[in-house]
Amino acid sequence: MRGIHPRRRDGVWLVVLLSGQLVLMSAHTRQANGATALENAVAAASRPLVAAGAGLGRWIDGSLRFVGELWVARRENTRLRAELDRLRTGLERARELERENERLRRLLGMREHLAPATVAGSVITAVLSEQQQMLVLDRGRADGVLPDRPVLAWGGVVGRVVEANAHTAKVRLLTDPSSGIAGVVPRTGWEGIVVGRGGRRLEMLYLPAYAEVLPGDRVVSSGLDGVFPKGFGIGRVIHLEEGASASPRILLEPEVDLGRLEEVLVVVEGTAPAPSGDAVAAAP
Amino acid sequence: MRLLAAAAGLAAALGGESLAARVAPAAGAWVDLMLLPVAWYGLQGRARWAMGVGCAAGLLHDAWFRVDAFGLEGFKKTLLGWSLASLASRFDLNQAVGRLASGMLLVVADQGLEWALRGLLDVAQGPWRPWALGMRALVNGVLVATVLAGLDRCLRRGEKSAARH
Repeated sequence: MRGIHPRRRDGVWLVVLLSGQLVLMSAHTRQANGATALENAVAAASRPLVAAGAGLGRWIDGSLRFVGELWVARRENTRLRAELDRLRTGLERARELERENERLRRLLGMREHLAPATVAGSVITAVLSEQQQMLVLDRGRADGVLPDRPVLAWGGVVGRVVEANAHTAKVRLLTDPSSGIAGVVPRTGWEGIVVGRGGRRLEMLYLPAYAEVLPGDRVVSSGLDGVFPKGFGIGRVIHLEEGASASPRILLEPEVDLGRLEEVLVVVEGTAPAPSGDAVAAAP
Repeated sequence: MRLLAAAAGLAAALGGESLAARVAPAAGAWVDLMLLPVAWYGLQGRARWAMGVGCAAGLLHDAWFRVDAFGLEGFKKTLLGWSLASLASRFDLNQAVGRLASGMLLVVADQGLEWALRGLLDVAQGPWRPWALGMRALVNGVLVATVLAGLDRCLRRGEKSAARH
């Protein structure tokens, strides 16, 4: 390279670097081990930097929240005391109902509900751009987190693990443009596919124009995709548009606030039945 | 020493990206801190450094913030580094207005390349929102102009105090 003119030398470097990265992209889309190994190596080498940034972010976030919480704590305290008294009464009643439910289930010979086995993970970092909606968890293969495992949070479905190395995993959120989940409207039983749109909205597809769906309807996972367990919240219908096409345009607001996730649950063993009595109605 | 400075710049950018993503993930999508080291070397007309730093910045970004195609961000940033360095060797862009314009241009070119490469790789595209692209370009242009001006000032101060001693 010494005898080459500097401008040409730059050109050679450019071609070499771009070709190398084209090979990497192609290998990655074909799931070749070399690209994944290099990606894992880069991630492992830079993990302390990302962890430091995330740690500092957590501290700033925590401090801001602490100040905000102090502000409202006094008013909340009074309200919560009243709420606590009310809930104590409700809890006693719920316990009695649970005992009754158990007795009735046994009477009917029904199978006891089995919650899916999960691993809790903290969010290290997240990307919520229009092209990409993903987050990185501090759990990986060493904790039983494998690709294609569903990720849940309090309230509903978060997304799916797409890549996992030893101690971290990348999760594609429901709102990512490449995301999809089988959903059902429990009120009426109409089923469709819920896809991400890159922003903060989801869209439900493949429902006929005469499907009974109304703004405010809740959509839950149907389990038909074989990835997500049945009965977990996906979102609520916020916009319904009946156009000339065979299917109405149904926009949903995700059940979980994907922009403010701190801890999530990764399902590490098969899928299980619905988590609650939020029964999915039979298809019409 | 130069290599160490480049590595420190990349480390700071990566740390900053993860900090922004942690504090405000939605706002984090508006700024691309990994563009800063690329712009720094590119605006000085140092093509090989801009390409190398762009490649490293892109691969780091891909490893942490991308799920669909490892290497895509690296490809874009390498090309952007080289293009900016080529432009900077012909025009004097290393001043306030030049930096602002370069930052904005880098974001628009980055988005264009993203669309083209995603199309080539048959990866799902997000929605096309010109106002969002315009805002991102403006935010990153201002970021490039202010951060690079600050860095410049720090370096000059350092040189002056070294000369005095």
